[in-house]
Amino acid sequence: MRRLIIFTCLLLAMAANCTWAQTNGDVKLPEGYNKKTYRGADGRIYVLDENQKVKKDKHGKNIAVEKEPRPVFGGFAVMTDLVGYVMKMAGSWANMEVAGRINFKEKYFPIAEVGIGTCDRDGKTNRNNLSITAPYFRIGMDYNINKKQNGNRFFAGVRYGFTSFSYDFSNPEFIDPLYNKQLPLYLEGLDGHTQWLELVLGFETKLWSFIRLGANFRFKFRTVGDYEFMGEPWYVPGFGINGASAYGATMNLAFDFGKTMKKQPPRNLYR
Amino acid sequence: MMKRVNRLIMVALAGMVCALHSCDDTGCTLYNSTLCQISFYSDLELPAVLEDTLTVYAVGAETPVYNMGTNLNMLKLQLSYYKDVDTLLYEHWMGTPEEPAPHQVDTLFIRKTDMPHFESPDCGVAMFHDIKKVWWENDSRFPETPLIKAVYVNHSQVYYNSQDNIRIFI
Repeated sequence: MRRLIIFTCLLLAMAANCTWAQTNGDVKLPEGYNKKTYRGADGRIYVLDENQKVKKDKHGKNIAVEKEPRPVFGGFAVMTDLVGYVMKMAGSWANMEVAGRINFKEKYFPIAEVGIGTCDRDGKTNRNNLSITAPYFRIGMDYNINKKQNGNRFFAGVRYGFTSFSYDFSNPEFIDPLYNKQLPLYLEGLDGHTQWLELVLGFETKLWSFIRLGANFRFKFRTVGDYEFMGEPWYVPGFGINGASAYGATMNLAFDFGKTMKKQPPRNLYR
Repeated sequence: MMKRVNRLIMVALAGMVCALHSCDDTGCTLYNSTLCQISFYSDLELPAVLEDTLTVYAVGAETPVYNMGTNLNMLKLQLSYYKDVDTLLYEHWMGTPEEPAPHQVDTLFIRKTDMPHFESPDCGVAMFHDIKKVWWENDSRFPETPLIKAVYVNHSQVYYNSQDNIRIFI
């Protein structure tokens, strides 16, 4: 046990030494000195504040710059998905949604999405029709992996989505093949309930002032799918085409109000 | 320059979004109808082969459900979509053109419930059945040589998967 403690202490000391060397180069500071330092262009050693960091200038020399300010509450945004409206006009199904998002430290973006999913699809080679109109909800979080505040955000995030809905299925030309008799089929008010998880990768850029445009791609896993025995719906509001998994994408027009919209240029403190 | 790059990226992303949404897969099942599987068994509950020529009619239907089968150990029949009881006439014939023989007709009754089943608007709609009861009547003209000696329901659910639904002892 004693040997293990000594060995662990040695490992920690080696790790600390490595960090020390990266920060200070060949500068040796008094033992136990734990503030971050750097050697400036004039050869002197400087101590960094908590709001400062070291960067290389164009000559490859160390300079200290202020970290970009990231207030805890950086603002909020409301947004809507443009693809949904296009799909509504052009396709047989669409997810039309709005979302609200809060900005914490320009890194963490809790988000809530609310939408209406619609489907009115006819069979390609028959008279089947599936009809659904129902709300859906998603909550989740995006993480901005872009460390610079240059107007662009690159997101990685997760969502949990859920919806309860009723769906109708009909075929007025349903035929009993044994007796060749027409039996119009109208199944109405079938109940469905779905929950799912989404992995999100996204991108967002500033268009003008507080207006931003972004897109994200989603891989969805269905976690709960309760449907009537008569048949699963081909489409689920908010999820898309029904199955164990699905792909999705949105293009968001966002109105972003916050404290960190403007790019903060770095300032050379010591030169 | 950066703005131009951003716009190009956004246009590219918009194209990808539309492409993703346009993907469509029907994914229909390979089976397009549900068939009731009826197997023939001997007295010892062993699979048996019916050597007679067999034709099956549904009462009221215009065409035979099964036509002129020989050396059968099982057959798959379409059940009706709306009748509570299907009445099937089993006509078997042991004769040949050279040696004609009379046609013997036994009757099989199947009481069931029906439930439609769908997958996608692009796929066909099937009808599932749940068999509640089966019984039979032999041809009174041939009391000595009945085709059907006994019948029971082995698996009541007639879905897409093929299973031994009814067993007929001959």
